[in-house]
Amino acid sequence: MGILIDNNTRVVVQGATGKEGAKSTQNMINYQTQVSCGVTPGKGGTEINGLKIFDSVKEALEFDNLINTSVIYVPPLLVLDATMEAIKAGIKMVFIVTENVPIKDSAKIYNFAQEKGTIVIGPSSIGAINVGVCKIGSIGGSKNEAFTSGRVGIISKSGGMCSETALILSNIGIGQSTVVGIGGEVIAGFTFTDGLKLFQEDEETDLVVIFGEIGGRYEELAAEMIKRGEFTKPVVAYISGSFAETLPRNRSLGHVGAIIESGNDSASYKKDALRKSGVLVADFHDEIPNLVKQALEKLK
Amino acid sequence: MKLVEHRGKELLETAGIRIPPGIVTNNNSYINLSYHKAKYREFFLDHQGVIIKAQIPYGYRAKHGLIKASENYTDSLKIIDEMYNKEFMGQPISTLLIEKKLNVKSEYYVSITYDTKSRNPMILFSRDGGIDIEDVLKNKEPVKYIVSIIDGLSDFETREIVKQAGFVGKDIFLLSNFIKNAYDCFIRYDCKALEINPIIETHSGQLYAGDAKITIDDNAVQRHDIFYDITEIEDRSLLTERELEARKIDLHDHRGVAGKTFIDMDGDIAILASGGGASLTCMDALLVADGKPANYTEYSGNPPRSKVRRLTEITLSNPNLNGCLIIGGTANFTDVYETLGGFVEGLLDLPHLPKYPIVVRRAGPRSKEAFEMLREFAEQHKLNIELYGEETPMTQAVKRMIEKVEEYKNGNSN
Repeated sequence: MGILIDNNTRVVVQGATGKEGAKSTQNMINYQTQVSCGVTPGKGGTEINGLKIFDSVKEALEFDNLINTSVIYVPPLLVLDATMEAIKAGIKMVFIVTENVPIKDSAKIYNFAQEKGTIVIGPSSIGAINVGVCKIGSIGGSKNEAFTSGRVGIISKSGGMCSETALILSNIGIGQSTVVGIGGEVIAGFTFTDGLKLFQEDEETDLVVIFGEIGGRYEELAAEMIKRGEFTKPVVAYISGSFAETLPRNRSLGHVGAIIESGNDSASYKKDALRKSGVLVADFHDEIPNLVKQALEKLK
Repeated sequence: MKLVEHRGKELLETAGIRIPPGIVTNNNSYINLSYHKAKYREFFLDHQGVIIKAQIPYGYRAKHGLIKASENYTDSLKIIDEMYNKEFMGQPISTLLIEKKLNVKSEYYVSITYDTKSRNPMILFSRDGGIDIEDVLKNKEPVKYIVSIIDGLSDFETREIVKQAGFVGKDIFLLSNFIKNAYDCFIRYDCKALEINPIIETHSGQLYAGDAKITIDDNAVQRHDIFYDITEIEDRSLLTERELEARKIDLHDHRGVAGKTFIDMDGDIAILASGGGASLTCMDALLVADGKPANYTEYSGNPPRSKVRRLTEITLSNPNLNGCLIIGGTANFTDVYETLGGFVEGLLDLPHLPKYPIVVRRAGPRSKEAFEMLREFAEQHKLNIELYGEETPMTQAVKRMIEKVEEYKNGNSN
């Protein structure tokens, strides 16, 4: 079980011949992920790491019609085209690892995917790992020791903090079911509420950790969903970016793509909303393990 | 990237929106040269009244005395002189837009941004525009309209928006056309936000953009030749020298991110953080533990060595430092050896190597090799450096940095 990916996941890598694409492809294969082939327009007929490369997603599907997932590593301004290609070819799940995708393109991607019933995770998603089963994207890099198998799900805007959050849990013996990086963009394809919906149905997940950031409204929407009783498992949350409240307003922070505009996207506002919905909120990142431990003990 | 008013208006004009006749002067001497003075005099006499506006990408200009009207030529010269002598947030005013003073009948308001819930563009429109718009909108909700980015904006939709705001008859067409053009501009130039306040209706029944506040999506700048030299357009007046230099690092090089978000702060601990989430987490921890950051910045997405080198040089050029914190979570694919290699090269670019303590907390691909390299370099150059890996939580490394800075400051004062 776990969410989004499992041992039926079969992957095409769009942008497999680029530096990051090639490296991550190898890392996915090393983690037993079924990577079928790659796509780079203009490089069809070549091979990389023993993997066949095609010019188009359509050709990749003709080669292997069991492919059900794409992971995208193309440069930022080519992401819209690559994603549309995957969706139109009929692929039902797309991870976009590329960062710095224009907001207009992200909006088009999200709305088009909605129409076609495709799940798009990202842009700026580090990928996802179903611990001990397979992984997709760049999560974990070449080392996966931070992740240990268990029953805690993690949804994180930050890619770097996926491993870090898993690590501090693993260090006290708490393992993870699926860890997914959703990216910190203002327009995201897959948000906390989408992740919670899937974790609610997942029998192998007892608790979910949310790593949020300032900017946007997705944490607030998660709080509302929990309050409505649509997610019933315990949630532990950490929201980074409190320091931004000490800065002059209207300054963009990090690739989180966040602009503090109205005040209701600040870290303190989000923490407050989550607390009011019964979420256990960590003020420091290293408080997460203790809160998770306490909540898990209560479940027993 | 925020555009100043006259740049924003140039874009609006290409999308078919009428802007008031105007001239841009970009330094004080310009208007005093006899040739330009004659030109300006001609402009003034043609229009019988001007509005003089300081070009800074910031709201509330009128409230700060940075927008002034004049209907007397001699007075207007005095206002221009005074405006150039003003400062804004410690920066001199370098550019003025001098426009024809329009014959205003009514003022309206329109803005377009992205709605993060529907993940589509959202238009706000109100028939009460003008300088007190924030107060007005508090009491009276503007018309909110979500546009399907896939379908685009049709004429019947803009007519609907205008009708909802209370317009009837022929006025509907005039305004709906204006909104359509504003939306076209928003989409065409990859805007993140576009605001026209006020939309001016003159007594002769024509509509003008009275102001333009436009933010272009930094990630789309490369798509548009007109933004090629971004630093020419960027809100220079609000950036420090280091902030401006740091923003140049990512220009025209999409491999990873470095320095795009550099912010100078008042403290004495230089920050070179890796990863958006990790950097925020570390700043939060630093402030709670009473550390004083000298800056905020982060690099991520496996930037090449050269970018980190330049970012290091810029960050450590601050003369007020008592410590340097290099911090990141457990990197997934950023090559720690390459990026810390860039840090070392950046150190060597400095006029002299820092004597203050450096704390490194880093984990991820090739961090072992990176630490060996750093240890050797530190020994050779007698650097005061401590290295921590994934066994040490980030928050603890932050606390260690603060202790080291205290030690260093006490040692200096003894």
